[in-house]
Amino acid sequence: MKFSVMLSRFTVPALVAFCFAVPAFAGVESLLSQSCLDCHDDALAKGDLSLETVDFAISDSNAAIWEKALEQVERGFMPPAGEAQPTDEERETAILDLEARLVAYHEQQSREKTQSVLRRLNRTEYRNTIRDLFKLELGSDPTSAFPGDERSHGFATNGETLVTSNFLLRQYLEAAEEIVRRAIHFEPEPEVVRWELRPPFDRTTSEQASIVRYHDKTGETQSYQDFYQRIGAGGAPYRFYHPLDEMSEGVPVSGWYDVRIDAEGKFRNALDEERFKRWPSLWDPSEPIRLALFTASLGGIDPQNKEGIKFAKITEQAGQKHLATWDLPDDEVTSLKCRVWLEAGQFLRIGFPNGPTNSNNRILKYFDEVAADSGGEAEHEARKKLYGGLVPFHFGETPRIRVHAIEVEGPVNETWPPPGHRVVFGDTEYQSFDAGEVLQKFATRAWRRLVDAAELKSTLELVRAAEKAGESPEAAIQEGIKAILCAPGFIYREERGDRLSNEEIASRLSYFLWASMPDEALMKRAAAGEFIAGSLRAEAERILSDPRSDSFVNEFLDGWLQLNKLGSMAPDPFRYRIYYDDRLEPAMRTETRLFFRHLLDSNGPISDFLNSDYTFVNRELAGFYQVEDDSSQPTDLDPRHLRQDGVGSSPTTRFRRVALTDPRRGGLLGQASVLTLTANGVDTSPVIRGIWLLENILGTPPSPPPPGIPAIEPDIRGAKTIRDQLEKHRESASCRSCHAHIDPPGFALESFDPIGKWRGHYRVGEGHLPVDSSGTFGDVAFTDVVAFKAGLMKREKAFARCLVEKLFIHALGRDLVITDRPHIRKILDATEADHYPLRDLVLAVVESEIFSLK
Amino acid sequence: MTAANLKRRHFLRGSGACLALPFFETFARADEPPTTQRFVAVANPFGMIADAFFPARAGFDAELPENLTAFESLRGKFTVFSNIDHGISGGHAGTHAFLSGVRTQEAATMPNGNITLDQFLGEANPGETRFPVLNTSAGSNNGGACELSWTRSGVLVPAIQRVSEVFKLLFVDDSADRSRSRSRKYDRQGSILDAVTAQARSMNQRLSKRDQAKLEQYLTSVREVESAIQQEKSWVHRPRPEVDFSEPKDGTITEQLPILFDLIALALETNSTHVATVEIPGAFDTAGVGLEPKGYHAYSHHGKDPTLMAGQRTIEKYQLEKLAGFISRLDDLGLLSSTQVLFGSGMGDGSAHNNSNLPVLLAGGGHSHTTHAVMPEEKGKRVPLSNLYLTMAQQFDPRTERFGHSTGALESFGV
Repeated sequence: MKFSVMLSRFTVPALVAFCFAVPAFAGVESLLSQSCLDCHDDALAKGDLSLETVDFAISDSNAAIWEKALEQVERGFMPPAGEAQPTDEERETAILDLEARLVAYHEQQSREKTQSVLRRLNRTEYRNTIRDLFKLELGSDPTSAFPGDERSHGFATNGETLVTSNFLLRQYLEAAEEIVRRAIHFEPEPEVVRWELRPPFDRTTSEQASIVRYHDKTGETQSYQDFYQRIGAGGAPYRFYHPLDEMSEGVPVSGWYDVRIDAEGKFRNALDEERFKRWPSLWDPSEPIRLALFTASLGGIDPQNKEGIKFAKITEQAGQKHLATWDLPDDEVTSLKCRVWLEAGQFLRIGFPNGPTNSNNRILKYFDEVAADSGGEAEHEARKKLYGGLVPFHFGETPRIRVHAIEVEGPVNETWPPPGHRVVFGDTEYQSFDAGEVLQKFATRAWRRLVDAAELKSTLELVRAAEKAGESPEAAIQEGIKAILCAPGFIYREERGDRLSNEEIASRLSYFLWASMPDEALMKRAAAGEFIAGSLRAEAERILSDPRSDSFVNEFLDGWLQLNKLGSMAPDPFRYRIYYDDRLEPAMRTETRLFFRHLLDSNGPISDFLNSDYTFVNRELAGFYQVEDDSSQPTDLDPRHLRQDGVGSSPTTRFRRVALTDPRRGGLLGQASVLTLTANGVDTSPVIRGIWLLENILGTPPSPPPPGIPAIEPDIRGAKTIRDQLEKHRESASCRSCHAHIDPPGFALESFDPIGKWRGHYRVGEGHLPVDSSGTFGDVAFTDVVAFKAGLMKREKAFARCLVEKLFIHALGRDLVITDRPHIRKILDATEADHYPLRDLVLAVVESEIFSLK
Repeated sequence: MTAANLKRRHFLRGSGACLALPFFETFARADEPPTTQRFVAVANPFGMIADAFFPARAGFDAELPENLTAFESLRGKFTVFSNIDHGISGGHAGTHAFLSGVRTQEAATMPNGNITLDQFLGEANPGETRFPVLNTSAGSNNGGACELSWTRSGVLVPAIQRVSEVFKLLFVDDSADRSRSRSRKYDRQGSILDAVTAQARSMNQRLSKRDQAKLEQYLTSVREVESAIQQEKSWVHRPRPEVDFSEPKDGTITEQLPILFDLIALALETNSTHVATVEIPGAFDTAGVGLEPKGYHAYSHHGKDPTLMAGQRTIEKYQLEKLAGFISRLDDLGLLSSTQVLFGSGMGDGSAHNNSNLPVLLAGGGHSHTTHAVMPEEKGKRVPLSNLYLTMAQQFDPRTERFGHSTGALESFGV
């Protein structure tokens, strides 16, 4: 009989090798004969795969096939839906069996092929390393001209995909010049400059210019300046920032500057809302009037290019900083004070983030109507004729910021030279004689390891050559510093042996949890050889409680949830105006980061990611979710995480923890960030959201579709919903085996529109079609997203595995391989009883043996 | 028959009756893209009236509409594209994405930000010319800006608005001081590269084989940058080309535009740059084309008013005539087959304020042109304009895999 012949061929060698570990017929052989060979035999060979002649003894020629088989069985894709399924126990036994064989095989092989490959710093790591290396305030981003980093499994930490090009190297050279210019200061302490600004501050914005002209013509003194217009967009670059014109050349040197603004809120309740509402009003009279402070710069623009200058002055600039926001008291002049970092050439701009509208036309029309109704029309029109159409702003009463005086003074230096200079040169005066020592000390920090003098020979020669060419010793040494920053020792994270050295482990730890270089304490422990002995947990705890670990939260979420994609398919500005008007995008991002931070700090169970009865919102997001804003709950988060107001004071813009009484919003699947980044800004697709969930929540990415299958095209006649079209798609058996897994999670999320707002209906032309968010996922039937999430909670373990895998991919900077699986399993087993607390998982990854292997 | 043969046939058709020798030369070059590639983008902020720009029929022999009559003699050397855009909206707020396909607000999430095609192509061959990219405008943005060129770090590159400035930049030498300080910077960077090479070599000895292969990327980059720096440095002391052209006077847009086109042609001819942009902005002096001085924006907002619409057609016809003159000039200079000239706007219909069905005309550059390429109109099948840009970028570097939101290069220009 064919069957018995085949079995004997399979089992004999396998049993010889593994009979001590595996009970005969209980493991993979049993599953294979019951569930696989009906389709994957030589005769049928479905999917071009026959397992009939594949040997059970793992070898070079079949390891890949067995790994694929393991993956398919584990992810539940095989046997396909509709075929007889093995019991969970049978499946688990077969998986463990096959895994053990594969691991045993791979452990015999050289690790070199699966080691992580030489990694260069990605953009975030480069930026953070520079910040920490020079203790530098980065008022502008030194990596802004670097090309984007390629990602692997979502993460920008994989040595294979982080390439180096001539373009990037060129940027390294330019960046090094700029960084050294900012950090090294042999010149005497700069003099303090003071601006005492009086109204008008902004003569650039059109309505301000016209009010200035009014004062000029009438000879009246302008004793204050009012700002009326919301910083706004409607899909365009945000504009209506108000430049402080007298400062627009920018501050002469980078540094800390003290700012004082005397301001008040006016006419907060004066708006006739009924009248104003006819144009979509963004005004909420229960909010305080807010004043926000921003940076800007006119660098690189020909001063004679008047429009270029005007455009730059009032429009959002790439890399501008939002320095502070204040809630203004009504009718009471208050001195707003702050100390801010300004780069040379930067000046300040004021904005009205919650103004009633970003259209000054709307306000003007409103003034026209008010004037007509109150009988003041004649005077109103006469004024316009005499002084220009924009002058009614000055006389009208709409909510506005009123600024009386502004003072700016700086740079304020607590010490001179500044800290960045002192970490390189110490406190003594630099002399040419010290060059070797300075370079060696600096390179040891910059390259994150002990560096001997021989390695710096060429760098020292460079310094000496510069001196010979007539440069001063101070100028010459700076060339050496630049060379150290462009050298591979800085750019790459060198790891020599299979088992990492103490120094190399220190870097793994700091780049994993800070996306930056190790600090002095970490390097000291490394030098003392403490890490090999296995004391990583305490060190990781210390690192996680440092503010620098915010980079871990941000970077990890970008990789895991693809949070970096939020905004890459910008929502349609006409259909989803609120996304821009209320600046929902940054709020969405912050919500997800706070949620993760909260679980990390409180060591909370990761099941909260799947469903929760709380989240974190600011005022706008609370309105968007329609959650009670006053139900704020205590939170364990550090207040610095909840503040969005920089150095200002705007309690009303803060994030807070709120209870979710509506079960639809809880967990990641109710967060607008996730729902927006899984849509394309115009439509939703259950396929995209479904794949996202399989990949990032359950760790079971489906195989790509077979070639030649067209994408589902939105139905332009609007007769059918996307669901109807997918149902049709699934009639084909070859589509069904994957789409039975992909589509249902997407269906559950169809109740959320492309920016994550709840919807009961699709808008189709003039009409509506109801959303059907029911489905069956695995063996769980659900009617809506709430029931779907309840089913998902039962897959906690699969989710935990997915999350641990993502942590490892991020930390190790390589693809995971079969030999990693026992280590992952060990972590899951140890944390299962406590429901996988997030901080414990992160610490367990650090303590895992593979964390310290190349 | 192979694709190469097809291209050749098209070309023969395009050259019509006069199969003279120079044409053979040209198409020999068209089959194998010449090593030097050039690109010029010309854009306005308000789009074009569709019926005066898009031919009614598709294909090589399509009859040209009223505003394209000046292109009759160029048939076979240009293609007008229909139904192509970036799939974005925003009206005036969307026009700044014309050459990138990426709005500023989504730039932070794109690997290359909202880098525009000109800046992207300017990076292709560092050191090849004195100016990697030359961004110019025929005048002031008062009344509507193109906001045409953006760097990968999201900064708007302001265009030079005065022809006298463009002339000086191209043909008047730098001061000795400026040259010296630039030259010193190249020297310093060269020395740093020497020092880091030594460090890389010593590091290399300690690495595993796979890591060594990785570090080779770094060493290759060092060699490439060294040679680029050498080339760029050689420009510093090389005198600017002498041209038979005196410093022009600045003026209105209709006074400057013809001069600007002459200067760009000269810049390409003298290899001063290989990538240039020309903006025809909102300050267009309508009086210069015999219209009432209402302003370009007012005409573009015609709302189907017959007088305004006729005015708008006049403004557009003027632009296309000057463009045709420029393209013919490049052809006469033998530069057209290596120069992709793109004309268009980030706005489709200036009266309706939409950003769909953008007016796009591509001439030259070694493509096999089809006069009017009609892309699929149906939602879901539409071709992103970035795919055309990718196709254009591949003329510069065939290894280019992506540009902005591109989904793949165009295999041919329709038909």
